[in-house]
Amino acid sequence: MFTVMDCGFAPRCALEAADSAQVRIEKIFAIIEDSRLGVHDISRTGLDRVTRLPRFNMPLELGMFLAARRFGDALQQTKSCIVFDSDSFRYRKFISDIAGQDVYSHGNRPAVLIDRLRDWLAHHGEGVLPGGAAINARFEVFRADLPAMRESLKLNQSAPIFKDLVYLIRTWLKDNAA
Amino acid sequence: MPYRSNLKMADIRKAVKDARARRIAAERVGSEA
Repeated sequence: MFTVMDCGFAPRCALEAADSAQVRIEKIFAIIEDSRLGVHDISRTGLDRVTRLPRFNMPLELGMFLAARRFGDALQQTKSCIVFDSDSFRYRKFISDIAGQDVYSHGNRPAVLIDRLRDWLAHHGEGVLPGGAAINARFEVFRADLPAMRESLKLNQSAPIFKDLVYLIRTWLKDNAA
Repeated sequence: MPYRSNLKMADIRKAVKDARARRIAAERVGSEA
């Protein structure tokens, strides 16, 4: 999210739907329809600790995005997406049908994710983007500032709300311009 | 943005500025130590 915003893009996320009266999947369809670019991280498709069942929301949302591009109108067919996983080729063991898409490994390392995402966004945006190292350096400072900001705003330490985090990042980026 | 924060913008701005001031003060102390 931080990288997306530092590169000048506006993040949309299924978590926007959390407090909406709209049926969740309809909200996600609407977000996908509105979005030219999609970033899908399927690295958290692990087993739920309580139910021992896999968490499939991320692969489902990726499938919805690919279907919009495949079956949508001319505008929808201009969509582009990038897929991240923790390890190279791990996806072949549980979602092998996406072979042929751009699937990148981040190794659970934020710096790698930031670098690869920045490079991909640079191909799809306008203007010159900050380098991956610069974004990562800012992200580390933001992370260090986050506990104090949460405390000041009396936010729950373990569960930041997506919309609050977006506004917090946007304000922080303005106040800490490169 | 197609969505709004539940927080007040003035509170967000204050939290960001306070965190920055706290960080800069800590860095100053660290560099003087």
